[in-house]
Amino acid sequence: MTDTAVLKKRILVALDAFQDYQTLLDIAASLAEHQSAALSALFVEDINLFHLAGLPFAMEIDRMFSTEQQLDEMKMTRNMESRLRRIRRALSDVNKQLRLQVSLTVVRGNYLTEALAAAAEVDLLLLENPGKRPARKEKTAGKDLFIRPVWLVYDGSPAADRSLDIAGEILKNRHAELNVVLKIQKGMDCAELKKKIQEKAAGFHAKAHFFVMAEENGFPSIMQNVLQKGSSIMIVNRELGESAETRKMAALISEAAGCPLLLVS
Amino acid sequence: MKKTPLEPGLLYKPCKTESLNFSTTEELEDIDVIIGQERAIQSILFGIRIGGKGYNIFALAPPGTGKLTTVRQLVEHEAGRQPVPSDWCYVNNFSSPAKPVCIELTPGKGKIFQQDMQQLIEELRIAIPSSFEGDEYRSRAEELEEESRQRESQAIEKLRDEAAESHIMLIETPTGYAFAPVDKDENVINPEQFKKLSETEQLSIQESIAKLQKRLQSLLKKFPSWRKETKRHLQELNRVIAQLAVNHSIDELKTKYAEQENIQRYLEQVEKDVIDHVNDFIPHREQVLSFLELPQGSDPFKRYQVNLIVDHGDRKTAPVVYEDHPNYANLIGRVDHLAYMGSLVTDFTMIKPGALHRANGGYLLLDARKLLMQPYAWDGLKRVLQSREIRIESLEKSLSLISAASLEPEPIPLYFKLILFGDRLIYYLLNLYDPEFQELFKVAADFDDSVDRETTVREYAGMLATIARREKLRPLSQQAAARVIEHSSRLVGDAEKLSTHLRSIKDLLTEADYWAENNGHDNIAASDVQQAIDHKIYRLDRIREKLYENIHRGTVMIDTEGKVVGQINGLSVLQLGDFSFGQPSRITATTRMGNGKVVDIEKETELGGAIHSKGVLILSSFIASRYARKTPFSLTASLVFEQSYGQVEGDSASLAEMCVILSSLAQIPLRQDIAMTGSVNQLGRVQPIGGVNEKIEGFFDICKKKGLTGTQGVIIPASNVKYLMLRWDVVHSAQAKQFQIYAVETVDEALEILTDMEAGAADENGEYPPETVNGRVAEQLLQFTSIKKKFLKSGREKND
Repeated sequence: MTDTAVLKKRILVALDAFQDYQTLLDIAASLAEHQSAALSALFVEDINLFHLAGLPFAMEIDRMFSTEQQLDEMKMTRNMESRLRRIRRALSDVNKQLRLQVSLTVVRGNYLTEALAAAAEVDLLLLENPGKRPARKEKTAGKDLFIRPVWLVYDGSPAADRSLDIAGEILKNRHAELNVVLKIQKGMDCAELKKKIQEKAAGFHAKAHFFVMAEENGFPSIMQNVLQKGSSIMIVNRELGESAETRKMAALISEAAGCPLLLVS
Repeated sequence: MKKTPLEPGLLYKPCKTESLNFSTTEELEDIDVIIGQERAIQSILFGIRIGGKGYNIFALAPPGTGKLTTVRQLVEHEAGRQPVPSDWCYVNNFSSPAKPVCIELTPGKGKIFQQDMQQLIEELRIAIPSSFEGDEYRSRAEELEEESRQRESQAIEKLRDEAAESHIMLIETPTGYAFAPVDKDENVINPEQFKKLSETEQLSIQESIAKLQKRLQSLLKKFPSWRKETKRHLQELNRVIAQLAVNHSIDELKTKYAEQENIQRYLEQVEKDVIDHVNDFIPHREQVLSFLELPQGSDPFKRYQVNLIVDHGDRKTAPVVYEDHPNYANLIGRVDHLAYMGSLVTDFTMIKPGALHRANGGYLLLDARKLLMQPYAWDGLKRVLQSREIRIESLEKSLSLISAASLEPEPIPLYFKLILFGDRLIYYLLNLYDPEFQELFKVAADFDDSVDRETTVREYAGMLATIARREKLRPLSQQAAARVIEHSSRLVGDAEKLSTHLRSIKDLLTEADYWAENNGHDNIAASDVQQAIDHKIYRLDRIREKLYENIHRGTVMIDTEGKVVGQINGLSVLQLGDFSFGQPSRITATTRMGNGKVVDIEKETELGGAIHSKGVLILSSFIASRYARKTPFSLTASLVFEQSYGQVEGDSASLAEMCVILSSLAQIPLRQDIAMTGSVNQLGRVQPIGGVNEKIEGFFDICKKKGLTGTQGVIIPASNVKYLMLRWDVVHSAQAKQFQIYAVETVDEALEILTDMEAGAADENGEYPPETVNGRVAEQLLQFTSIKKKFLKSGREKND
C-alpha cells in the first residue's frame, strides 16, 4: 500500500443513508486528484434499519410533517436505492470532471465496522458520524465567513507527517486555520515539533494552533476544544489507534465532533 | 402719347464700388452675420427676458435665413447672465420602487452626492462583513445556534433515554424517526427474534413503542416554532450588529447634507434598507444553482446608487440646448428596459434624461418642423409647458404597446424658455388650428427675408467678409463683393433690397471660392462670382432649355414678330426647386354677341385657379363699366392659354387678357414681338406682379434665339420698375436698342404700344373718338347691342 510507485493510492469514502454525501465526495475527490489516487465509495446499508423495517409493527414519524407512517422493507429498500442512484451519479460526475478512477461497493452491516474493515486496504478513509443526519445549521449573517478549522492529531510519526501534508492540501483551498493536537511521546521535543509544523503550515498559508493531548484522557480530553472551536474535518493517522481502539476513537470523534474524520494510513 | 422704352439704367441697379472702400474683404472686421433683423432680435430679447407663463418664442423665417444662428447667439449671450441651474438626480424609493424620487442639488453637488453614496456602500461592504466576522457576533450567533440544537437534541435524547429503559432504541430512518426493540448489545432485534418472544412481551413492546411514538410526534411538532424563535433571535442579533456598522458611516453623510431635508429623509431610508438587507453585504461563496432557482437578477447594491440625470458641475452659465432629433423620448426622457429571463425589467438607474432635463433653468431650441414630424412629441411638449414639470411617462405603455412593468418617476419642476423656429406657414397653421399654441408661444420673432439695400451695403460687405473667414474661403475682391450684393438683390427680386437668406449667400461664396481656386485667383474675383452664378443655372436649367427648344422648333407656338388679332404673348414664371425662369405663353381670345360674360376656358376645364378667375371677372367688369354704361353689355368672350396643359394661377396675365379681348372685339391686330405681364384692376390701372426679371429674361431668351429684330420687348407694370435687376445680356441689348422694356400704368398705355394706335380718351358724353382702339371697341359693342335689340324685337313680334 505504501509503495506508491507500484500501486495506485486508494481513497475510500464511507457513506450511509444520512450524511451529506456530496460534501464528503467533494473532499475525497479533491484529495484523490491531488494524490493521483483512485476514489472508492463504500455505501453501508444499516442492518438495524432493515431489522426495524422487518418488524410487523414498524412505524416511523416523518421528520418534516411529524406524521406516522408505515415502515417496511420495501420502503427501506426504495430509500436506499434512491440514495445509491444519487451517489452513483455524483461519482460519475467526479469521474467525468476530474478523470478519476472511481468505484462503488455496497454492503449491509454496521457503518463503522464495515468502514474500518475496508480501511485496511486503503490509504485514506473518510467517514462521518453514522446513522445521523448532519446537524441543522441556522442561517447566520456571516455563515460563509466562518470556515471552521482543520484539526490534525500529530505524534511525530511518518504517518503523522503524511497527515500534515494532507491537511496542507485541504487547507490550500480554504482560508481556514490548522488546529494541531500534539500527542507527545516520551523524549519528544515539543518546541521542535511546533516549529516544524508551523513552517509547514506557513507553506500552505495557514496559521497553526496547538493543543496538547493529555495521555491519561486521550481523545476525550481534546473533544472539548474541538466542540468549542468547531471543526471542518479531523485528520488522524490510523496507527494512532488500531482495531478496537480505532473503532472507539472513530466513533467518538465522528459522533462528538460532528465533522468528517479522515484516517490516514 | 405712346410710351417710350425704359432707360437701360433703370433695368439694373449696379452696386457702386465707391461705397465699398476696401480692396478685398480681408480688410473688413468680423460682424454678426445677422443684419437688418432688428424686429426679430428685439422680439427674441423680449421673449427670453420676460417672465410669466407662456412667454415662449416662435422664430419665423424660411430655412436658410440664419435664424438658428441668431437665436443661439442671443440666447447664449443672455444665458451668460443667468445663474447655473440645479443638478438633478433620481434615487430609489424604498417604500415604492416603481416611483423613484427626485432630488435637487446645487450645481456640481450632484456628482459629489453620487460619489458619496457610492463610497458609503463601498465602506459598508467592508464594515458590515467585518462586524459579522468579529468574535463577539460569532460567539453570540453560535450560542443561539447551539442553544437551538441542544434544545432539540436534549428533548430527543431524553426520549431516547426513556425508551432505552424499556430496551427500545430511537433510531433515525432516511425520512424520520422510529422506535425499535433492541437486544442486550443494543442491536435491533430482527423479525425472527421478535417472533420468538412471548405474546405478552411482544404486546408490551408494541404498547411501549406506540406511547413513545405519540410523544415523539408531539415533540417534533414543537420543533418548527422553536426554530422560528431561534431565527428571530438571530435576525435581531444581525440587526443590532448591522446597525452598529451602518450608523457610523451614514451619520457622517447626514451631517454633510444636514441642510437638505430630502437627502436626510433619503439617508434614513437607506439606513433602514441596509439593515433590512444586511445579508447582501456579506460575501457568499459561489453556489451551484439548484433546479428552478433563479440567479440573482441584478446587483443588490444598485438600489443605493444615485442616478445623476442632470450634472451642471462644469457649467459656468445657464444651459442652451439644441435638440436636433426632438422625438418624444429625446425631449421628455425615457425609462430603459433590460431583457431578463424573457421579460423586460427596469429600475430607477435606467431613467434617462431628455433635452428638457438638460435645458431646465436655461433655454431649449427646437426646430418646429422636426418636432411636429415626431409622433406625440408636440403633445408631450405642450403638456410639459402647461404643467411646468417634467413627468417621464412611457409612451409605449400609454399606447398599450408593451405590458412590461414601468416606472413613474417623481416629476421634476421645470423652468425654462423654449424657442421654436420654423417656417411662417407652420407658425400660422399652428395659430389657426392649435388652440393652445397662442397660450404657450406668446412671442413671435419674425425674421425679414430682405433688408434695405441703400443703408446696409457696407454692413453686407462686412457680413460677406465674416462668412468668408468663418468658412475658410478666399477673401472677396471689391468687385466680387459688389457682384454678390447685386446678385443678392436679384435673389429677392428687388433692386432696392438685399437677401437675408444666408444659406444662398454662403453657397454662392463657397462655389465662387471653388471657381477662384480653379482659375488660380488668390481672392474671389467678380468673374468667379459670375461663374458660380452661371454654373449653378447651367446645372439646373435642363427643363428651361427643353421648353425654349420647343418654342424655337415651333412645337410650342410663340410668335415674336408680326401682328395678329386676338392673340398675345403672356408671361409666367416656373419655379423648379432652387431655380425659376420665365416662360412665354400664347393667350388668345374670341368675342361674339352675348350676355356680358367672359368665359375663362381654364376655369371651365378646372385648370384655372381662384386668383386667375378673379382676374378674368375683373376684366368683364372693367369692359362693361367702360364701354357699356348706357347700353346692355352684349358681349361674350372666351379666353384661353394656348398649349397649356397644367394649372394656371395668378392674375399677372390679366393685363394681357384684357388687351387680347379688346383686340378681338375691335378686330385690331396686336404686336407679337411684344410680350406683356401685369395685373389690372376694375379701373384699368396696371398693378405690380412677381417674377418680373425672370419673365422679361424668358421672352428675351426666346427672341434672342429666334433673332433680335430691334422691335421686340416686354410691357411690365410701372410699379415693377424698382424690382428690375436684369441679366447683363438683357441690359446690353436694351442699351443697343435691340430689346425694349416698356413700363405702363394703364391699360390704354399698353394698348397703344401693342396696336400702334391711339387708345382714345372719352369726351364729356362718354364717347370715344372713332379711329382709336377704345372707339373701335365701343362701336363694336354698340353693334352687338343693336343686333341683339333687333333679335329681341322680331322675337316679340313673332310671339304676338
